[in-house]
Amino acid sequence: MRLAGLGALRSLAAPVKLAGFGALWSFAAPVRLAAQAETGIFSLNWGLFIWTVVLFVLTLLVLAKWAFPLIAGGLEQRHAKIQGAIDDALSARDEAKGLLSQQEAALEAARGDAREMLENARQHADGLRKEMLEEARAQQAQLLDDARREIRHERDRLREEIRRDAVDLALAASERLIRARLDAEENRRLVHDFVSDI
Amino acid sequence: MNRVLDRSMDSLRSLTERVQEHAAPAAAAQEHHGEAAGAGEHAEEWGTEVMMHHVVDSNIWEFKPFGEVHLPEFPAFNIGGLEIDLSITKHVLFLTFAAVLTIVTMFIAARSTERLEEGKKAPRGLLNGIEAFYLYLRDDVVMANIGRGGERFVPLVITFFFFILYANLLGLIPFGATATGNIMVTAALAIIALVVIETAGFIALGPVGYAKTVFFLPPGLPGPLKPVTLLIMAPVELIAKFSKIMALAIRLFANMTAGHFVILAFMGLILTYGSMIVEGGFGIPIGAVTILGSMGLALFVMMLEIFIALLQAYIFAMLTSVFIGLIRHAH
Repeated sequence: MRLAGLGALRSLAAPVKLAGFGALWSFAAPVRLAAQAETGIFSLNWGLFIWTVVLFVLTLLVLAKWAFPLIAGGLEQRHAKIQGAIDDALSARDEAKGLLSQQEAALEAARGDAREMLENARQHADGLRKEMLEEARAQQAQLLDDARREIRHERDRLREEIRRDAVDLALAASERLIRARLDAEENRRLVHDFVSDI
Repeated sequence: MNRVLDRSMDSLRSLTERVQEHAAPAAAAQEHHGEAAGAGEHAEEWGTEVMMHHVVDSNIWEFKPFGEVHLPEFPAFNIGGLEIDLSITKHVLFLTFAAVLTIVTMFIAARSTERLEEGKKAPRGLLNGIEAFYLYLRDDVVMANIGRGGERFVPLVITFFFFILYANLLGLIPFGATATGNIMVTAALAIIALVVIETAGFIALGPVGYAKTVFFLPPGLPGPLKPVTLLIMAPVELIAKFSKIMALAIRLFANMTAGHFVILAFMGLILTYGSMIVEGGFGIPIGAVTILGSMGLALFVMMLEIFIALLQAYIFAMLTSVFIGLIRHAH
């Protein structure tokens, strides 16, 4: 019984072995191909494999140590610089905008001031003109009054003088009349002449 | 994997067979006309062997027709059954060029940045270009996919991009070799990515959180189903980790290799139909038209290759950041 079981196992062993070899054989296919054609395109040259790894890793190490930090740093720095320039430009623009509006406000205020001043000046000038006119009128009236008073005064004075003179003359004429002893007719004529002489 | 490789080998074989079929008339011509022998030999040379020769790695750096440089070879040694040969091959040499170019590019950028700080000059020229790449990769690739804390991965992703880009582009210049057209190179890069991704995940999630990326149990699962789910899903999750990385390696390798095969095939057509012109007669117009067409197509594919060189470098860098972002924000 036991022997029979072993025999069955043994009979199974052959195909299992075969399958195992088959699997190994197919997995080893690339190696086999390489063995068949040592210079073919599928030749497995492990030296080349090692060279590739060594060269690539060396390149990577050299670059990672000496080149990439510089490039990354430079790019980062330039990025920061450009960002800074943009920020500066933006803030400068805002500042300029603020200044411009300030200037505009100042200009507007100045314009208003000027307008106000002009208005004031005009009002002032109007007032001044009226005042001067008033004054001139008043002065004129004063002058006229003065002139009239002077004239009246002068006239009165002259009249007084004339009267005094007339009396003197009448007295003188009377004196002369009396001296010439003339008649009444003659007297009247004399007096009349005398008076008309005045 | 095996089947995929076999299939791609088959398609390559059929492509090269087709190129050889085009060469066949030339070979026939060689038999009939002795004077066409030279052109015929050229056409014969331009077969699978030559195309493979241009793509695969070797210890000889060729400057045909100016000569060749034998690169230093070291004896291979064994570690744990793996044969390791650290000889300098063409691909090692061009990877070194790519590494040096990456370092030089970044140092020029760094120096320009420094000078910029000192002289307060506006940036211009090379610095602007590298800066555009740097900023794009930093902001739209790394930070967009990883999010907060992604600054630490910026150097890695940018180095990946420039290293792969230079390795890709160096394959397009005359006498160049595409190191990224070698599966071992792309595998090494992908495994570096894997290590970084898994380490980033471990640091971000902690031991328990990281374990959950493999042994994940959805909340509210009934008790008896837990072991079953673990048994089924854990291998799937584990395979998913590696398949992403394998896809990363194979994508880059296949893109860079395929482009070169297409260019070489078009160039092969030029040589093949060149022999028709030598043959004379009716072959002249057909040959001329085909050569012009092939030249145009080869040029077009070359332009496409420049774009693909950029695109694949970008995809590698992009996917690495995507995977880092995914594992850091897992569940």
